[in-house]
Amino acid sequence: MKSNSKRPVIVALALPLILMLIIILSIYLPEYLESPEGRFIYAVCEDFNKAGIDLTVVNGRLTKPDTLGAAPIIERFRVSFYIYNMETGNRTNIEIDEALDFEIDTSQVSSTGHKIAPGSRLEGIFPFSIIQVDSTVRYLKGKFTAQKLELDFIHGNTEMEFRFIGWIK
Amino acid sequence: MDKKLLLKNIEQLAERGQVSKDELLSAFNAGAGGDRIYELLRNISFSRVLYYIGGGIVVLGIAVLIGQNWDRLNAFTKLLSTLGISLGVFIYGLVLCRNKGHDILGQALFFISALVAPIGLYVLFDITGFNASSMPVQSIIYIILTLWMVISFLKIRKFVFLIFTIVFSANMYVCINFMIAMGSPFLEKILFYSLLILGVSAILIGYFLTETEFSGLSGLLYAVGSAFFLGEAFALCGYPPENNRIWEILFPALVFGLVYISVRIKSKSILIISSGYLMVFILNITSIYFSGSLGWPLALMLIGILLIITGYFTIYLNKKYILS
Repeated sequence: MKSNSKRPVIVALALPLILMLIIILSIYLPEYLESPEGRFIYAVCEDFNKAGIDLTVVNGRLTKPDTLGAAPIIERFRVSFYIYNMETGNRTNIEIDEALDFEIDTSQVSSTGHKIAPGSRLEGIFPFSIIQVDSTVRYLKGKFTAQKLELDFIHGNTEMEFRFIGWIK
Repeated sequence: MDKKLLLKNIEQLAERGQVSKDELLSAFNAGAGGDRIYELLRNISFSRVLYYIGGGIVVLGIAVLIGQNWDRLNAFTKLLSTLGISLGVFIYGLVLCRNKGHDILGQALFFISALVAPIGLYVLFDITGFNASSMPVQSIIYIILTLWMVISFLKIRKFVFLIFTIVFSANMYVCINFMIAMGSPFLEKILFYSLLILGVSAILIGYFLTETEFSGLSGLLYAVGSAFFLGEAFALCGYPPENNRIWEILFPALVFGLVYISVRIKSKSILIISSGYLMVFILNITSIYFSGSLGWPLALMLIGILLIITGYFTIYLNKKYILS
C-alpha cells in the first residue's frame, strides 16, 4: 500500500473542518439539528440554601412552601417564578398562585430529550488545562445541541439562585 | 544497467521470494560504505537526541527561573526572558543552519525557540492587558505559532518545523473549537471528538509522509494518532450510569479496523496500541457487564483468557504481516 497521492493530506485537513462546521451548526443554529418544544417552570431566589425554601412537587403539582406564605417574608429571599417557552426563548414572570395551577412533570429530561444543565469552561492554558463546570450559566441541553438560557440572576451563581421545578404538561 | 529495469527485476525477484529484504539491505550497505555508514548514522542520531534533550532541559531551566522570579521581573524583562530568548535563539539557529556542519545544532536551537515561543506570546498578551487564559487569545497565540512554523518550514524545510507545525496547528484547532463552543456544556465532548478527529488526521499525515523525505515522522504520527483516536473513542464509551451503548458497540470495530490498517501499512505501533486498547476495553466491559452476573472470579478468568488471545494474535500478526 503506497501513499502516492495527496488524498490522505486532503482528507486529514478536511475532517477537522467538517467537525468544526458541525460544532458551529450545533452552537449557532441548534434548531436545524434539534428543536425543543413546550415550556418549563423555574424559580429564582437570591440564595435558596440560606432562605431554607424547599420547592416540592406532589402528584404533579407544586406545593406552596410555608416560608413563602408566612409573613413577614424577608425581602432579600423573595422567590420569583417564571415560565420559559423553549420554542420562542421567552420567559414570563408569574405569581406563586399561578405556578400552583400547572400540572408539572419533574423528570430531568423533557419529552423532546432536553434537560437543564450548567455550562462548562476551560481553566488554564491549553493543553495544560482542565474543563470545569460553569455555574454562572444554564443551558437547555439536547442530545447534540445546547442553547444558553437567558435567565435573570442576582449574583450569577445558578447553584444558589436557580431551581428547576418541572416541565409543564 | 538502467535503474528502473534493475528495480523492476528486484520487484519480480521479491514477488517470487528469491530475494529477501536483508539481502538487499546488506548489498546496499556494502556498496554505500557498509558498517561505516551505520556507525556514522548512529552517531548523528545519538548526538541529535542529546541536542534535543539538552534543548528541553534549557527550556525547563528558563521556565523555572522565570517562575521563581516572576514577581520581581518587570514587564520588559519578562518579555525579554521569554519571547526575546525564543526570537534570539531562532535567529541564531537560522545563522547556524547556513553552515551544513552545524545543521543539527541549528535544529536543536529551533526546538528551544519553538518550545519557549508559546510562553513568550502568552507573556506578551498578558502584559499588554489581554486575558491570556481566554480562548480567543489562546486561539490567536496558536494561530501566530502555526503561521510562524509553517512559514519557517516552507522556507527552510527542517524536520523540527514540521513537528511543531503539527503540534501547534492541533492546539490551534482545539482552541478554536473551544472558542466557538465557549460556555457550552458539551466542551468535554467537543474535546473528545476534536482529539479523535486529530488522531485520524495524524495517521493520514503519517501515511502521506512515508513517501517523502520526512518519513521518519510517520512512525511517531501513527503512534500518537492511533493513541488519540482510540483513547478518545474509549472516553466516548463513558462509564456507568452515563455509558454510551453506541460507542461501546463501535469501539471493537474501530480497534479491528486499526489492526487491519496496521497490517496494510505495516505499522507495528498502531498494532501494539490497538491491542493495548482492546485489552483495556475487555477489562472495562467485563467489569461493567459480567462481574455482576458471572461473579468476579469467573469474570477475571474470562478477562485473562481474552487477554492471552489478544496478546497471541498481536504477536502472530506482527510476525506474519508486519515484520516479514
